[in-house]
Amino acid sequence: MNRQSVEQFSRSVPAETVKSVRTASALKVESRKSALKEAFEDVDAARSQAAHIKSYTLDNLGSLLVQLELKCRLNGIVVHWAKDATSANKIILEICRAAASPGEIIVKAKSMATEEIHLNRHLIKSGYEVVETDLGEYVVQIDNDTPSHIVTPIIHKNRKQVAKSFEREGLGPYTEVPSELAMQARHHLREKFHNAKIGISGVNFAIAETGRIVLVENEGNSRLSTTAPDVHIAVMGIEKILPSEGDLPLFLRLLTGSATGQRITTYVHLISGPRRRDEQDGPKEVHLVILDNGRSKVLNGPYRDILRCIRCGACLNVCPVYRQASGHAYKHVYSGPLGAVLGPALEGVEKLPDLAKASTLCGACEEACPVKIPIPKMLLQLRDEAVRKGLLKDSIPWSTFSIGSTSGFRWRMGLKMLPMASLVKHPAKAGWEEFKDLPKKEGRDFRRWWHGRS
Amino acid sequence: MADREEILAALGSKGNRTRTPVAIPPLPQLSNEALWSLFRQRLEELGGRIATLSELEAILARPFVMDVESALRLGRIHDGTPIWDAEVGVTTADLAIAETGSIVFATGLGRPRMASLTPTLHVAIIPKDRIVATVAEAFARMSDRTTVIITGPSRTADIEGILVRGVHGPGDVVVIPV
Amino acid sequence: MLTCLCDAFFGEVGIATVKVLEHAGCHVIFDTDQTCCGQPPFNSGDWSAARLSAGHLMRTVLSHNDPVVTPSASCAAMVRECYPILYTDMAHPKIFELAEFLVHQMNVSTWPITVQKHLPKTKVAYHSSCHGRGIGLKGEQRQLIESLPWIELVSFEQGEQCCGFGGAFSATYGSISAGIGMEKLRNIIESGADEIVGGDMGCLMQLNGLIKRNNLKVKTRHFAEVLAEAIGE
Repeated sequence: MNRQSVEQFSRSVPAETVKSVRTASALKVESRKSALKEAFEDVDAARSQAAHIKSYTLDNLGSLLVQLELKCRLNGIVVHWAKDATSANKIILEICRAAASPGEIIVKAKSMATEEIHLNRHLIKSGYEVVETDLGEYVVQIDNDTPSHIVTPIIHKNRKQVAKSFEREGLGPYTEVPSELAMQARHHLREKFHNAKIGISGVNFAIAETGRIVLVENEGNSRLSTTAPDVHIAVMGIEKILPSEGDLPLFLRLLTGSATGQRITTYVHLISGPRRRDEQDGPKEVHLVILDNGRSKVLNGPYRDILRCIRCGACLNVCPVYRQASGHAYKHVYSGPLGAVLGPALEGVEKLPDLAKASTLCGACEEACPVKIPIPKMLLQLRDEAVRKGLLKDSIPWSTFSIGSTSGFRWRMGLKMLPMASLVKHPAKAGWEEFKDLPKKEGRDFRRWWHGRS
Repeated sequence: MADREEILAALGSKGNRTRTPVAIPPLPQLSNEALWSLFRQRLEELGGRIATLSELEAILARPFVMDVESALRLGRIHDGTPIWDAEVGVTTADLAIAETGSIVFATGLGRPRMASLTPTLHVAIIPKDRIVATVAEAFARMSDRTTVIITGPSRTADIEGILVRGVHGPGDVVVIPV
Repeated sequence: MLTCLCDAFFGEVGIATVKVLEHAGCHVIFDTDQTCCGQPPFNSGDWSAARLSAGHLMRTVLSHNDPVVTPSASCAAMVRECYPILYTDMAHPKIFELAEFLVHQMNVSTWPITVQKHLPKTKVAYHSSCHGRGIGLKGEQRQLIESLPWIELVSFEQGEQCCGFGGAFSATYGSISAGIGMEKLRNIIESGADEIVGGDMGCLMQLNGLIKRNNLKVKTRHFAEVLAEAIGE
């Protein structure tokens, strides 16, 4: 396991990409602040309220999911439970096989949960044509890339790169004008929406009280994917549930404000089920796949609070490490501060021991989080867990340092020997010195001065 | 053990069932006129616009689809354009939300979902008394059918953060209060 | 509490801190047996090592009945917020960052200047350390610096972003740390500041390392030194 892989990756990121990510992130931070200030007289109180509702949800997750299942079934939504990725992919494939033959089109709206379980790969292997329809995700798909941000997937790309990709795919004459590129994508994807048998989406919020699935978006591809085809499959992590519809105005405002700086997304889609007998369009079947994939384990452990996350991406936008290294550095479907906790929490610290170290613990993420997730605390706990399990070999011998710090005498002796440290080779010293000059003792020595006073 | 049972067992069933209800901010007392004024401002900020019924004739020269309530109100018959060929979709809204410039549509008899989605121009007719101030108020009156809250034209900023309208949904949204 | 960084490298900051506290009317005690609060091992995940250092601090500096003051939000945060993580039923120890102590405990709102000589006008970029978030600092450091008439605080882009220090992170994630720090320095230099004033030597040490390596024309000072200068020290 490559130890500081985030650091390694960061060194290879072109300056152009860092600039794109940084500029976009800074703009998003500003728009989040002004959106939330406009939305709430007391932003902090709104966040506390949302944190409380999410904590309550997690405390009662089992019974809320049972209630959701019941209400969804009454609405005509078929509910499936998947304990892990394998199970989820099997269930979804079965639904697809019953609805469409290999070669037919499945349109996809953006869903991090489906990326997490690598659904596309699974469906494509079984012969289906899977088409991502969110513009950013479509670009990611045709480039055989992965999203570098959970809300704005191609924040690491510029228009030239998109133009080249579209030309390569034969979408139209070469153009770098964003609106023209978007229209080429629209034209190409329209045919897919029209002919798709199946549409797959994620879930922003599932409402236990009413058995409704809530999807938010700006482009219209999510509505099209979940309305035009005969079958709609929605995939949700178990924690994406809210107790009641009365909670929605608060959460919609916080999610949208934090994610894109808008008051509300262009479309808020409240799905009550398949088309009813008096309706002339809409899917004939709606399926909800409830996905665990490690979340119940997280719920019962010290990182439980990360499950409050509503996937707004605000923590990514504000994180100095994310801005410098970009999303792909985390080598996980979830990146930034969210990923640094959720990744090892879901998969085990054994698989991802060093992600939690890729942080200065500045706390900007916690400050930005609409549901007040204590990310820095959990990063520290992850580091502790990794050390206790012997997964992190620190080059600095902290035990020696600390033993030295348990005696005033030993400590004062150590200080006297500090000037000789400049002669010692050590990876930590080299790590510092690679980019910075070493600190030097400046001015008077405090202890000597203090002693001289008395 | 089936996945469902395994997941529920892992989640356990103990949980404190009390919670504080969401504090609803006090409702602004605005006149109908003031609400429509705010609505207009918000809608126009997003690139949508307000129009009058008289402008509709010209718009309907293009291939259109219409929901039944609109057809009855306008005294027109749906002209049989297949939904994917329609350039204009005319639907009557259940609600308008002033604070965001949104319009709300529930599905139902004679109310095709796609009419407000596939055409490039969406015309939303709405009786003037069907406006509320806030999203919270709208939720208090929400239909239990599949519903969409539409706020302005479809948009994306995926390419370099540059705003583009009309990506998959309608690029033009016209609201006609009646 | 002196902090291990000031003990090792930045004695002047400790001296300035004592002078400042005395000027505000305090009698200052320095426990010579103090060492380190344990933040470096704690942040690295070695909590048993951290407990060794913490234990010693509790037996020395924290054992006195008087309030403990330190010129570092980062050390104050470690003791106040993280000791209760290391020792689960512990109450939050009474330790204060210097500015919050002056403003809220000693009721100093503007710094009482006594220096006779004329001090040159200085454009200052104020850098608030991230740990201020952890202990709920609300601009006390800034308030005190701003009250000095020869100091002109200039604003700069992305002022709330971290400096990239993060403790051992600055050595183990060297290129990311330097990238973050250089971005901050670029924004500060663009603002036309002569000097960066902050409240944590970790941050200032990081920035200084980059300033010297890249031959940048900007100085750094701890705000305690700025306040000490204002009383002729």
